[in-house]
Amino acid sequence: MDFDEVIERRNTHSSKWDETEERYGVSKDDGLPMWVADMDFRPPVNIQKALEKSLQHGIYGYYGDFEEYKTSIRWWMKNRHSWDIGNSTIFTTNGLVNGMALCVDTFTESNDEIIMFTPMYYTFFRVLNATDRVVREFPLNLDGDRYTLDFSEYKKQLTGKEKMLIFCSPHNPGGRVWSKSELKQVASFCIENNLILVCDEVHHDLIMPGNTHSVMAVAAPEVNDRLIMLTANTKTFNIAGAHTGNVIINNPELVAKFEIRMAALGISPNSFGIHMATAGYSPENAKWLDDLMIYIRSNMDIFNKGVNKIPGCKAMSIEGTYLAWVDFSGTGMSKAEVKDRIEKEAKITSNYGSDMGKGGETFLRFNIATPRSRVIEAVKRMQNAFKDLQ
Amino acid sequence: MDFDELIERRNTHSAKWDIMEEKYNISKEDGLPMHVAEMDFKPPKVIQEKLGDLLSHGFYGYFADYSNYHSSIKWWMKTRHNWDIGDSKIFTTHGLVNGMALCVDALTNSGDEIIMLTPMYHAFFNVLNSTDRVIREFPLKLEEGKYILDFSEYKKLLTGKEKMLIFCSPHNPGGRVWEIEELKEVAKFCTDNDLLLVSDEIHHDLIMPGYTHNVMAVAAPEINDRLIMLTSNTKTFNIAGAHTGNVIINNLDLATVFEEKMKALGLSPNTLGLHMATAGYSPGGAEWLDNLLLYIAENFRIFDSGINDIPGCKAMHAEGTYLAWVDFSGTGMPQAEIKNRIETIAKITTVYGSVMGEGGEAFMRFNIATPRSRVLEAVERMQKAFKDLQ
Repeated sequence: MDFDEVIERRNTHSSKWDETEERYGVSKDDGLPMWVADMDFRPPVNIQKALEKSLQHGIYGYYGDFEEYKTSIRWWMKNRHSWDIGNSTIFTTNGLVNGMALCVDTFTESNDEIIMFTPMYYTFFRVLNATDRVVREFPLNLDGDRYTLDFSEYKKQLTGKEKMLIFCSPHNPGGRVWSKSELKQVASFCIENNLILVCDEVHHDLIMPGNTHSVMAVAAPEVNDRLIMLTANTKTFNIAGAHTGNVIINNPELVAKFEIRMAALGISPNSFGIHMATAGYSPENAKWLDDLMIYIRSNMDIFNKGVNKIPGCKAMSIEGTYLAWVDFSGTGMSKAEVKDRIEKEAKITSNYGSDMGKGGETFLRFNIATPRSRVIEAVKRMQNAFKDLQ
Repeated sequence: MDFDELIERRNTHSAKWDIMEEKYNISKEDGLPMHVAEMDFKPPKVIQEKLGDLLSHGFYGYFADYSNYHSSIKWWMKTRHNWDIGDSKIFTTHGLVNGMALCVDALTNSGDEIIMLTPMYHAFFNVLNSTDRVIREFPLKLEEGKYILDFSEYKKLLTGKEKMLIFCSPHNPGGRVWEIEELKEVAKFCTDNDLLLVSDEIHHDLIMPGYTHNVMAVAAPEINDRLIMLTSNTKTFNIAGAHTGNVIINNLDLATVFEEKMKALGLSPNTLGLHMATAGYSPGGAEWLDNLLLYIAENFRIFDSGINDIPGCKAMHAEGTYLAWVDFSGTGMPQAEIKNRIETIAKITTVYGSVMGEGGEAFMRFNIATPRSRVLEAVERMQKAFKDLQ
């Protein structure tokens, strides 16, 4: 796989490449999109082959017989994450935003409080803000250049109305790959306070070399009866458009509730997504992924090093995901000024930390899963945009 | 397009071909599946070519810029159905079972009563039975072998708690293409009784020669402020696996409530489905469809006349859809005996009328959208299975 290959994605109905004008006023002709979390690399060959096989067959009807799909998930989780899914039930949703939203819809009621550690992936805010649940933002502690959990603080904030904790592992944004002891603390907090734990692990395959991810169900099996695992390989293999994710539940009572809600909402997966996801979880793609993460690691190093050279800019040290998380507070500039320089001068699109809850205000998120030449270009543009600070 | 071409669909994860054993205990080696409502034909070339283009590019990221998609829908509705969608809102759901379910979830409340004119597409029962809404079955009247509406009877059945009518146009399973006067009656019934009207028009392109379909929004514009239109081209062009349907709403208040529900459930469409659906609504798609309908009409003629040769069996004359609806009551046999003959002797899979509500008990639904040779084979098998009656 040649991750260096620059492939034209403009005018292909790509949200990342074709919406920058509309969303940011950044022309797609010279804009450098670093916002939407999909990669500028083609997925592994056998996913392409699975689609080619579908195309050759030429009929795209309702999907049947999920055994191969489920076996591929079990195999991957066992081999890659030492997680034996066992007899937990695997529900397939239309991606994991849908999966997370269904958990909220199914397992909480009007006015229930839902905890998220902030800053937090903005789309989860968008979902919760459209419901009648109450979002509780419990900020992560900024310890040097990494986030940590601060349970002594969180305990003080409890009202007793909290019903669910939505946890991101690895963390998005911020790229923390949580340690086992941290995961056990999260589990214990949920048990003590009678919370359902929704563990979003959509990034759990995207771990920087040298770090080890632990799946919540393995790190803290004691929480399994109140745990809902969210997994997918749409980020892993860059097939976000397939909109296919898994909600994995062990507790039979929660399983029964979730199942009836899926039926009530008429949700079943699209056949292309299942074909692609099944092909994804394979031995050859484990190798592809290892190579990808080596490439991403270098991209991250180049980007962070370049950004950290700008006085007042501080990129967080990233242990997982392909999302750089940069604090601009040291520049002393207003948010509008920072945006202006990044969008108008550097012509780069990023995600605003200000949409991600408490603690995100001065940050911007940059997707560095793109060929190296673009990462180098991004650094150059950023340094230029702030060159008066040098 | 060669509709006669037999394409092997077994062992392709086809819900229609690969789970006969599991669902009906009929081996796929010699079973003839006529249950799942999808066709055994390849979709139009324009769709295949679009998929080919996507594969050559090799990216499947998040979709953006719905303008082509929306204008393709508007163009089709205007040229094919004389329907000017105007500024009504188009929401894209994961197929229309999801679309219908979202209407129920967003626009009705616990304990509300929902009317369906029965027999009715079984999947809608599955959805409603998973909710806390109350199903009201208002049976269609069978008059000279044809379903008609019976509002003088329906008025008597009203309790005042009804909030929504789910209407199928053309009717599934009976294949009625409703006349303008009938549609106006439905509209008036909803207006008189303050009901929301959900018009499921998923089969509205599948109209037999000699009949004209009228879109509810055009036939009865007076209902637009309480009307929700469900449309899709997944049946039209045989791309059910794409799971892409449209919920079209004119009333701004209803559109707002629906939009909020979509957000709260984190629903957005898959990329491949949007590309395929866009390609379908085109002159190439229209030409393919015209040829398809001639082929289906001949399949119906052969199937119905073959079935009607069996004493006691009566196929309803289908004006639309590709679903034959056969009444076995004249045989005097119990349902178990009929099933046994069809499944164990003829090795044909059907959908049971008994799961479609009041009035469906003595019927079976047969999908005849398959190459002619299979239709002939089905007739032969059916005649054999009931040959003692001849």
